[in-house]
Amino acid sequence: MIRNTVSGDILIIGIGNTLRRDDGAGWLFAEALAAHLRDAGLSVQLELHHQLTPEAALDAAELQPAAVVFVDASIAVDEPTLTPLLPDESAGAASHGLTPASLMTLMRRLYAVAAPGWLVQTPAEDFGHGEGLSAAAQRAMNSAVTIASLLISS
Amino acid sequence: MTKTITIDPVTRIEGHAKITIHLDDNGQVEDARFHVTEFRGFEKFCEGRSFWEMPGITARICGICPVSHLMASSKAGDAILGVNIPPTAAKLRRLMNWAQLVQSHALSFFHLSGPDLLLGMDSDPTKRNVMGLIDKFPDVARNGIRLRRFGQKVIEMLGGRSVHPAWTVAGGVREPLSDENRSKIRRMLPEALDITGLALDMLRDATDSFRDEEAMYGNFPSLYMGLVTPEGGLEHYDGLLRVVDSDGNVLEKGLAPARYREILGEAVEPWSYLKFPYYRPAAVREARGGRATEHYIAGMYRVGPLARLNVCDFAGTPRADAELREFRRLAPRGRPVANSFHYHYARLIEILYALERIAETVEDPSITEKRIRAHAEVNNMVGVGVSEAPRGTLFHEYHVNGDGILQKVNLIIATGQNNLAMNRTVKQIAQYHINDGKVSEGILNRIEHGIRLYDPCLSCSTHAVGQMPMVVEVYNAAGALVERVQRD
Repeated sequence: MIRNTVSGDILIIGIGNTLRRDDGAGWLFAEALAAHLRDAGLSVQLELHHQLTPEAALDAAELQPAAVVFVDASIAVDEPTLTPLLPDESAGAASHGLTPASLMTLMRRLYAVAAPGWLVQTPAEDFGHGEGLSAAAQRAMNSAVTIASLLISS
Repeated sequence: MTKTITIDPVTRIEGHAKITIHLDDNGQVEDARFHVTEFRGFEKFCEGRSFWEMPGITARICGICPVSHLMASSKAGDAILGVNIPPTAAKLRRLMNWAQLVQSHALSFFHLSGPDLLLGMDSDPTKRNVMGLIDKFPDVARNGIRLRRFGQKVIEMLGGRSVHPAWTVAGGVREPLSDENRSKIRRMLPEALDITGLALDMLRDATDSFRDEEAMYGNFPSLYMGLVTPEGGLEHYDGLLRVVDSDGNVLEKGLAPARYREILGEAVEPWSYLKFPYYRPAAVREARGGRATEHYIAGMYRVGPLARLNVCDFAGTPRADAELREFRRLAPRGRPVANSFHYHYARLIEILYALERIAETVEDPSITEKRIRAHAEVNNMVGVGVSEAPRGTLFHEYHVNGDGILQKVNLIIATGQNNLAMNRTVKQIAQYHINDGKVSEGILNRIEHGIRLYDPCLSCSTHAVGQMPMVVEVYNAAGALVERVQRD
């Protein structure tokens, strides 16, 4: 359980762009998740990024988090999913953008911060220009409380 | 039989592109082209919007250099209002622009080109990336992250966030610099300067291993263009346009940037979405069949760090000027440095310069003043804003009606201005390395590195959405595809 294993804050990192429709679900879900975890008595830090850049690893490492939860919208899921995340030693960064797994690798290899990680994926179907979520992405917001419970208990 | 090689996608750059290499019957490189395969068209869909919105809209062209678009767009807005913005607002804009230079150049040097320079052009491609850098040179990787973060933090302190800050506006800026944030910037500066010094030493050491690249990667005569101060100093925010030729002759001493159309033309080719800007006075005119044709390739010019250091007389800060003197020893006396491999060195000198300027500016007693915005209505129907983005000179030109609604927009982006030079560089590297049509992965990477020298941002230059993987294709003389390499 997170509650039993952490000594520091839970770091939630929302990834997305609120001007690209469902891509903004990463931020919105992360905010909702943070609120639920705080309501449950956990100490939570929330960061919102358009994309994960190398310096985000330094920012995250300096917080010395007890756990890191990434939240990102995905067309690959039909409902919100919670997956344990391991650092990915083989992940190469082709550009400035990192995956959550490669960011965890940077935290571990460069800054000796080996916090356990989770990836929350929320469903998305529309990445077009504009604000607001599709009906499916909006419905998934209701699952933030469930994901919070899973994080606390699993 | 001739054939063509294609590199698709090109990696460690911003946007989508491919390279095709065309071989002759003997397997020698006949031609090579850098194709930009993404398109977005900001110029068109901005029509009908208010010019007030343009800093916020155009900043979203790019997540790496949004500040550059904020600067040029706000300056175009200043021109439409017909105002001189308050001095503190101009200083604050400069501060953010220098911070942008630091973060963007740091990303290019440490994370995009660093793997090639430190791990080797022919090293294992699965390790030739940031992760490979961490394996062998963790201190370098850490330094790159810290230097880039310095720039991002300064942008965030001024603009409220590091990506797409809605801070500069027509007439000035929205928020002043607080005393607290000024102190934070002061505290971060010594480390940033130390890292830059280490990076300069590291590049000097690495250069000994790259004598071939120094000689062959984009080493050709061209023109160079950039902004300079009225006194001829290095300039990134304002000033005058200067153009010099490959012998160091000054062709344009100090043209008002708003008159850029008098000297710049834009050509198009059917095989790329990226336009080909050129210096019109150098283009060769030919009358044929009653029509005048402009052969624009003679007007090829380069922009960006190398060009800026070639066109200025001096930098204007002590450490950057000392490095500039060393930089100029790379070329025969009085001539510009012609080899694009030295974009790397020029980038580091500009980081040093930007840090020295930031250090000066935060000590300016007026930098925290609160008078930071001029207020006016539409007073001019046309506004041109020009600034130096990390990759080169950036032009925003807006035509509005009396209500400030955009009727026409023209954006000339730095990367586009290097398009001719990038194509020439790709061809030069391909001709040097490819014999008998044999292409190794290391050679493909060298060709890609030729593109990375310019640190192109194709999202900006085509105003396009997306990431930038790259493809290389090889075609034979009959035009048949014989080899294709793609990386994500």
